[in-house]
Amino acid sequence: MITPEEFRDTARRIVEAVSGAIVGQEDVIRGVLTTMIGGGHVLLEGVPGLGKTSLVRAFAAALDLQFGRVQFTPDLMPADITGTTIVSEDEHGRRSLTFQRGPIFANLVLADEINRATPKTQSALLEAMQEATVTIASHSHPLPEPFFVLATQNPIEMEGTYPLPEAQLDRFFFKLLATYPYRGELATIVRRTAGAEPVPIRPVAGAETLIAMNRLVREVPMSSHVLDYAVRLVMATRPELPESPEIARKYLRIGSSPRGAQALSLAGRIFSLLDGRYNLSYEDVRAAVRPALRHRVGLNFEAQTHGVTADDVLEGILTAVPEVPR
Amino acid sequence: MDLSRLPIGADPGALLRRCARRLLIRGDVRALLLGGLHLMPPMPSPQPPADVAVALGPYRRTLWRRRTALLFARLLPAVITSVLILNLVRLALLPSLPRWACWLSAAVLLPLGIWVAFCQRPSLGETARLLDRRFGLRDSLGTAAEPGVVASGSLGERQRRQALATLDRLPARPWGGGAGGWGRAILPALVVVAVGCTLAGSAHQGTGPTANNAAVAYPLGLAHVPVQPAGASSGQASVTSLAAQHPRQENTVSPHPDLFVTSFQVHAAPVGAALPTGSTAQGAPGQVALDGSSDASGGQAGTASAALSGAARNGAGQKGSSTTGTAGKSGQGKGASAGLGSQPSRTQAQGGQQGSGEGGARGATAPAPQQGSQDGQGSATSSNSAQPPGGSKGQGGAQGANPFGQDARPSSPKSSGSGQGGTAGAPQASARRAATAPNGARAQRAGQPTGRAAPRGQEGMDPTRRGRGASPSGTSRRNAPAPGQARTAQGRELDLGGHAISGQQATGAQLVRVLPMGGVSLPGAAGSTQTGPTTVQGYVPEDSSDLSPEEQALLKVYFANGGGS
Repeated sequence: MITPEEFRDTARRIVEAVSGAIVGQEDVIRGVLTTMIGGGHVLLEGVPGLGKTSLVRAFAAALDLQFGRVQFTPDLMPADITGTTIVSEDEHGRRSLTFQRGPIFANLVLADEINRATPKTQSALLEAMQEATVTIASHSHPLPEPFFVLATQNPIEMEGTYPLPEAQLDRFFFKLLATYPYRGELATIVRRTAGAEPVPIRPVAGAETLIAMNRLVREVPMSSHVLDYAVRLVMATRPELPESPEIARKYLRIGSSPRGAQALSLAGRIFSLLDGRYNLSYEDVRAAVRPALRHRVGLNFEAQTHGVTADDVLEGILTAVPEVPR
Repeated sequence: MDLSRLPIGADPGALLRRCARRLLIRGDVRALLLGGLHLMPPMPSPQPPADVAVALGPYRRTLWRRRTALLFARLLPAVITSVLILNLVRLALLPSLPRWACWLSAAVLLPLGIWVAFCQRPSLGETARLLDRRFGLRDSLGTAAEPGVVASGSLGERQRRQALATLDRLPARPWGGGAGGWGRAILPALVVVAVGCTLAGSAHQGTGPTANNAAVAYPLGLAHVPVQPAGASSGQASVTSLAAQHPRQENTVSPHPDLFVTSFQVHAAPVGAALPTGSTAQGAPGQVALDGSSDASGGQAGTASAALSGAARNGAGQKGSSTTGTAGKSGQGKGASAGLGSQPSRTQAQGGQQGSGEGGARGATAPAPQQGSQDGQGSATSSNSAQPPGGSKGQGGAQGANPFGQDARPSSPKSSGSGQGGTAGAPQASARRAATAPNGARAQRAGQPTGRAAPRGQEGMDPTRRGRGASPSGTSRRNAPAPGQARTAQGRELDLGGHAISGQQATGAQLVRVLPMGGVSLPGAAGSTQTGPTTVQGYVPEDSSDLSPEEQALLKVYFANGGGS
């Protein structure tokens, strides 16, 4: 069991370690760290070349976690991810069926370009992401703990891609948007990569530390009125409810699932601990709304034609839903 | 209530309070006006831990006081405004609106405000959240005020200690000392305005209409003219002398040329009192005499005299026709000079004679004393209803003078003319059957011990009584009854006094009875306040034909005490 001070110190060291390899992207780094502390999975979205894969590698190195990588392609099969049963022969010549573990059997799995695989292959991650097990031939194989899936996808290349199904998206704790670096950040990136070998990242925490941090987070007090605010925010994303804000009823096709409220609560508490506080606040909930809900709400055709993004809708919901019900 | 099915904006813990609050404050303006003092709990909050509750207690009381003060600071102007509006409505549009109705809004709004203030008691959880918002504590106190989260583990305990430490550092008056400057002066100013309005209303009520004197604001610019008949005692002006003293008397009533003034005295005698000579109503349960005098204004003497003969309320035309005895004079309606002239009594006497002359068999040709004597003995020889009023006047009968009677109002000249033949003591006696004293000064009515005096007793105000009718009762009592004179009430009598003002054209709507100028006839009676020279105070509408209840009560007391007290 770690203390809140140790929690903050560990988080700070992890961020510093990752920031040694990744220039900028503070929000993404903080979001990935939050997701990992919360025991969830993260979907990184950004154009190529923004360091998404490097970021995941940096976290794996900083946390001293078992790292697995899957490059998703259209011909990728589920067994290529989860593993398969093969016939093996021992030294005595006896043959037997042996389960060959796939790359998903790791603490940190990088699902690169996840939207390039077919939905069938994508669905191979569903059980792993939700239950941390893989069932093959009626036999469930537990995944190592902790287990994180860090998936990346390219939002601009639609050719030959398969949008993630809602069930898959809902299993991601956060969806983070990697943005272009600023001028100074870009200069730093160029300076670092144009020189000698990159500085290797030293591990600053392990799996046990992450598990302990996750347990501490769940002790953070959460008052009923803040919880009610989080619940009302999630309910406001449901377009079928008459009391939902106008923007939600106009541009949303589906609302967030209860996993969204869970993510808000958990992420908010992590934010409060990272901020040195011991309780969940309205501000923490608001800070978690966009990364936790942007992939859980489905935009309708009107929103797509008007160029309305999920973040726009969530911004409207944040404005429309008061902290205190009137 | 199924909490799991609440919509987004539902507030299950404060529906009642919110309803009351929304009556007064709506929208986000309330947060602006109240400084964010209202923050309702989204869910019912249980009792916080003891140490947190103790620490939050002073802030809760402060919050409640401030909230109540703000509520009443908004409610008070509403109450004052509503009271003022109702008072204006009452003064301008609905004079009959009872005064208590003006305070109805206050009676409703103030208890409502107290109820709302009680309902607005902040809970400890709400207090904690308001403090969080006030000082930017990021829900630290609000979280610590919930026992469930505190008991959740070591981190909860740490959080509560942190919140208590934060509470210790907070100022004692987190919302300041209230409004300053002008804002602080608003409430006292409103209180002053409210008290001023109340006092002004009370002052107005003191001079304003009352239930028994509902039209004191009678806009009659009529000068009180203490007209007394000729031959009045000292201190009283005779009609003759008054005419000389006030040659432009009519001018005093020029704004109301259709009015004339009649001065009269109402005498009430107890049951069984000894009546003056000539009275035929001995032993009557209640005896009232009217002595009167009249004065016509606007040059309608004939009319005036006719009215005094008992038809005062019948308008000028009727009066004129009734006074056939006054022949062409009153019929011509130009007898003002006579009525107000140098010899009014003589004119009346002539009228009586003429009336009898023209009336033929009406039997009123006999001199008034004789006729009155006969009538006073109960004979009905003169009860001919066809007797002309002029004749009655000539006889000096006090017909219709039944202040205690039922409706002694003669409704027509005939009634006035026939009002002489009544037999005294008859329970159903009315003006028409009233006994006529020889001096014409008394009309008695049996069976009405505490009867009601009709202010329209000028039926009995025969012009022949002018000489004494308006004179003080004391003077009248001292004088022996004489033909052609008003009967003087004697014994235990009570002067009601007053002056009658009657219209000549209308059917009596203007007939009023006013109290003597500069005096009080019956202390405590309605309108028994001093009157000014140009103010007519206190009147009894004609159609009431009654004494006011206060007068009746005083009469009863007076006679119950033997008439001496």
